[in-house]
Amino acid sequence: MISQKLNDQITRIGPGSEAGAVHRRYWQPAALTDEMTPGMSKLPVNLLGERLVLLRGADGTLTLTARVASPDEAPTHHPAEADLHPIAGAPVYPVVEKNGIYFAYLGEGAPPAFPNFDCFRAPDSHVFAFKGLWECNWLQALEIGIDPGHASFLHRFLQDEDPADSYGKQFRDKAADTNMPITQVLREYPRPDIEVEETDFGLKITSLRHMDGGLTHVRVTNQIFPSAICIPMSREMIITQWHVPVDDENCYWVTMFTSFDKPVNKALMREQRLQEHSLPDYAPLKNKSNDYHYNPEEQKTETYTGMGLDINVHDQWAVEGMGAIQDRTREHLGRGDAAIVRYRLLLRKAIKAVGAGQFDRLPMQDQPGTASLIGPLSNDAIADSDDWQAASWKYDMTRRAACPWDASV
Amino acid sequence: MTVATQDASPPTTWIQIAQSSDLDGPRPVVPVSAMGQALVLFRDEEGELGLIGRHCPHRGADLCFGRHENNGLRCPFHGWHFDRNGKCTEQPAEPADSTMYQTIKLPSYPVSEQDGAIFAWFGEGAAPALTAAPATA
Repeated sequence: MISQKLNDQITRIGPGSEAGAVHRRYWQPAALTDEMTPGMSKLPVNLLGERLVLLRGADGTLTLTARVASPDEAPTHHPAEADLHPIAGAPVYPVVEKNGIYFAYLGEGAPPAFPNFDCFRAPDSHVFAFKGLWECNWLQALEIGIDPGHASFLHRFLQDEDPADSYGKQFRDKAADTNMPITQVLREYPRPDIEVEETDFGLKITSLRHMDGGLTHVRVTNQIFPSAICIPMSREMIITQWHVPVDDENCYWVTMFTSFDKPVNKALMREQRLQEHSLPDYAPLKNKSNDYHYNPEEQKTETYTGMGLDINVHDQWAVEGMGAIQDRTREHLGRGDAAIVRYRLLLRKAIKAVGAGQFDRLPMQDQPGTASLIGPLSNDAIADSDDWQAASWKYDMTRRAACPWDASV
Repeated sequence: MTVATQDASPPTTWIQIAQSSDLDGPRPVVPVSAMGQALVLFRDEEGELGLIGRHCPHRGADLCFGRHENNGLRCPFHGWHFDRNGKCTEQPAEPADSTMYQTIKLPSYPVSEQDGAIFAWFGEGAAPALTAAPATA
């Protein structure tokens, strides 16, 4: 449990807020490049409580600035291009395109360097980007991503799919070199030991599921400060996902799927996800207003939630059901929430540093160091219990050595 | 069902919160808003009613979508299980030696059923016997 004052401090991100000032020291995914089709020169962007417009100049230069907006606009209001009017004299924010995403920097001073993470250094052919709206505060959306225990319950499938049908989906692949689908590992071993280490970029989170026969399932995931995670999706792909605040009570997950093997089948990945979302605001078709298509019969026999096979919907239900901003004065964190506790300490430390003007104390704000940050390693492996550390490392090195682009670390 | 919001003085009568028929389906679990609180009403496998807090005390997930099993409700987020008195009986994601569940309890209210209607006691002290024609809020 935390105080209401602390909950406000770590969740609210509008202009002038303390957590908002931390976010504004980092590049933020502002839009997908898919959203700005070739003929367009203006795209609405609602980010960090600001009403903005992405502008593409005649020479192709991209900038982000404030737009004329009515105070009662819906949080994800998406005006037609003809109705977008930049405000003259408003701050102009720099924009950089990276593998399907326009990143913007809304802070003061020079923007930080981009780390050389896999999602940024892989060629465009090996990265697919998409996003979706969750109607809740960004922090509860991030916290589910740094909670390795929930996958054993929230995403439990009472029967396993054939891993051959798993392309582009989370948890459906086989674990490393075994014939066990990840879904089975998660179901049968629901009490992971969780180790959390602070890194240059945020946190490394290792969850260990000790299995029968002297084996351990090792899942390595990461928190990338302030709002992203980097996690394995399959043997072929990892997910780097930001939880980008629209305002205090809405956020987008913006994901870069990065392949270490074949070029990403973007048409298939896009089609799978467009079937679940409506444009232009990328709102999920299953949502609070239709009870996420909850089916009690399915909950009894097929899935833990009764909300279908798409794990994104499970996560969305979990975080939206907490309310627009989770009331953390009533929470009871356990040992399974170790990474959440650690992350909040990082965020509070960052808030303090920004308040004192000590920006170089924030993760990834030292220019020369940040650009040389590589990885982070994200993978699932099953190994002999006395050798899990080496096995996890070796598994990733094998994948990276065979990668058609330079994924060496 | 939504009934009176909380005012200064606690009620001195049982308050109707639902119809028995609301729980007729194969999954007898319904949301209830009463006295300014978000609650969930369910019938357990012994046929007894439970009226407990709607949000899981762990991280706030919505127990109206809970799994109706093991004579109670189980949160789909991390499997925490609650009985009709709001007592947490299991935390299957926590380490096996954890006894944290013994300290976790959701708010819960006495519930009684009469003539096809379900009533809850939000008053002070022990609930009196449910007599004919209590107040409908």
